[in-house]
Amino acid sequence: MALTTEPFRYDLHDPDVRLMLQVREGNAAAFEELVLRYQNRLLTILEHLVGNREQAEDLTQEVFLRVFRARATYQPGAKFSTWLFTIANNVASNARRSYARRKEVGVPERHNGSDSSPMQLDQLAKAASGLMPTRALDRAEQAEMVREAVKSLNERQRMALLLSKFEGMSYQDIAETMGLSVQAIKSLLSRARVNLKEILTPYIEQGIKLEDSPRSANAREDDSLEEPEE
Amino acid sequence: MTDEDRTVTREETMDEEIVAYLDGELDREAALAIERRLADDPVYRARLTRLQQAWDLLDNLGRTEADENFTQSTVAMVTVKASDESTEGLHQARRRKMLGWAGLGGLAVVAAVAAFVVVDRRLNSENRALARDYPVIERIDEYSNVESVEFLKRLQMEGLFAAEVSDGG
Repeated sequence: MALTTEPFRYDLHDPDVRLMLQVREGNAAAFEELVLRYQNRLLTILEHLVGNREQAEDLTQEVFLRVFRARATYQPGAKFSTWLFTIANNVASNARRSYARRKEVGVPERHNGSDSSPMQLDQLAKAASGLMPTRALDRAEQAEMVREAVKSLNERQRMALLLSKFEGMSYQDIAETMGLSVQAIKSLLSRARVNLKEILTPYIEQGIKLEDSPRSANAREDDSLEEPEE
Repeated sequence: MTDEDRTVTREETMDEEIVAYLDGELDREAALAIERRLADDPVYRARLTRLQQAWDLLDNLGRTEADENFTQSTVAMVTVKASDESTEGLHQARRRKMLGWAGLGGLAVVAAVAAFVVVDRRLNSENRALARDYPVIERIDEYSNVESVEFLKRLQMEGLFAAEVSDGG
């Protein structure tokens, strides 16, 4: 008896793929539904990836624009979320490259009062003076510490880590999203988590601030030598 | 970077296995091996605990919530941009069509000119042949009386036509 391998029918298993197929047929409400379902997920990943709320919003909109542009030729060849985060990964990489180019020609960096910016000096002063409840200070300080630790990872480690943490993606899905092999993702995530551990261990043990940790200053440099091989 | 830099150390391999175990990415056999080692090796166990603690700290990052109007503004922005691009696409298609017609017109003109030149040359070459052969045509009746070309050649060799040749005839 001859065995035939049927291609996986994503439209049967993934309701978001079905929505995207409706978008392909010109259903505007289906597109709005997809935006609703994924906007927070994209914003979360992108904000932690670029460290800036306003830029994360711009990038999220760019991702949805690309989804809409691609509707006519859309073919369900992966889970919808994998396809979407592949686009997000490309958009974020392009943004980082153009930011690097702007930096080269001296365009000043955009600043805003985003939620993700590190604690302002006045907040820290207020906290130190005892006006801020101790519990709130602990949480804010901890969040800032972790944000800084994540920021110190290189971009690929950060993306893999965020997809694993917030999207709960398998190594296979992360590999597909980032265009890398499963083994590369295994190494990437391991190095990301070891780096995080080394940066945060002094904080975990003694509550030492991040800038006191010598590891954090060297993390990015070390990571550049630890890129997984494809 | 030297090859030594790229060498994966035993420690790195161990970390990869621990992280894959924590992420639930190992098969049953490999997971059991990790668990056996965890039971026997306190250093290994401490390493796993540290990695897990650092991972748990990521919960502090929190999830981002879109503003109330974000969905509407995104859908509106996408619709407007896509519509602009579609209009621009139509204009481009029209421009391409016009360029296509202009190209075809140009080709037709080139083909007509080429045809004219070819026909003209062909006609002129016939005229040129007639002009070249005119002295012969003029005396065709006399030449018809000659029996053969060999006979004419003999007469020429004897200098019978010398005067006509020197006249350019």
